[in-house]
Amino acid sequence: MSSTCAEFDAADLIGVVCAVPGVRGIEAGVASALRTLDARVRRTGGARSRYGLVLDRKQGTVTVEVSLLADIAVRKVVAAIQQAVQQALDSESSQVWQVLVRVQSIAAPSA
Amino acid sequence: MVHSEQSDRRPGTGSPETEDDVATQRYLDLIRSAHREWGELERSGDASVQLSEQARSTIRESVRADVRHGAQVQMPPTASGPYTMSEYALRGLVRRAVDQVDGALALKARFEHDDSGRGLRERGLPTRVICRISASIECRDLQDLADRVRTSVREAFAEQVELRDPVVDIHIEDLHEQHVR
Repeated sequence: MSSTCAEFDAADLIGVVCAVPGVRGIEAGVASALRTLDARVRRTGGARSRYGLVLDRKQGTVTVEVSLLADIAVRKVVAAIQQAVQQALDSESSQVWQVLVRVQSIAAPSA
Repeated sequence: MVHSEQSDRRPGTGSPETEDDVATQRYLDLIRSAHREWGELERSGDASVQLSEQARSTIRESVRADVRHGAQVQMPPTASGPYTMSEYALRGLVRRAVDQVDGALALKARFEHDDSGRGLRERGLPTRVICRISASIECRDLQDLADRVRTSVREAFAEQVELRDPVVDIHIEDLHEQHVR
């Protein structure tokens, strides 16, 4: 993780989300993909968006789009993602964060 | 009331869900690789606005993925915040619940939603699940089979997403050999 005492950026949070058990990967929707590319092209806000994760400090929201494994209940994995992201962001400020998780797909259970 | 419908699946044929899962895995790998590329560019201080071939592929694939996912469906929030599931993910949940009942095979599912969805690409909470299934020709009690499928779907909704009261309708619209999966 690149930020230990500074602000977390979207790339850091991707690592936090992918470390949660039951997460198969980040599965971006078209809106977050375009937003990420737009930030890159305009050279603004690159730290706030990555494919599948948008960090909005002004609104206090994080939106993350994921694919899950079917081995753990959907709701449990979603709650774990929300808590992991909130804990990561709580460590940098007292701002209250709302974490919206979008479950894009669920892989078949492992045999 | 808003409706959404699952694509067809025929007993004994390669299911569209399997093809979708392969496409999903390819897309996840592409996103992972794009994240790596982005990180490397930033670490090297490269602020180039030239889009790499990979970045262009990501745009194309994200459009395809969006078609696969369908609309986002509101789910009951967890204690830590709100979440949604794509219609594609929700259909997978129903399909697994139907297929785990001996003698049943999921063909198609349709959902009805309440009006809490916001915007064209968002649906409200599912209020009714209409499952079209195939029954094994060896099944002697279709009423019992339908009841077991209904119970399985209800349990899946309760355990997976804590949605405890959707109405579940079962329509048996095909028969198949028991070995077909």
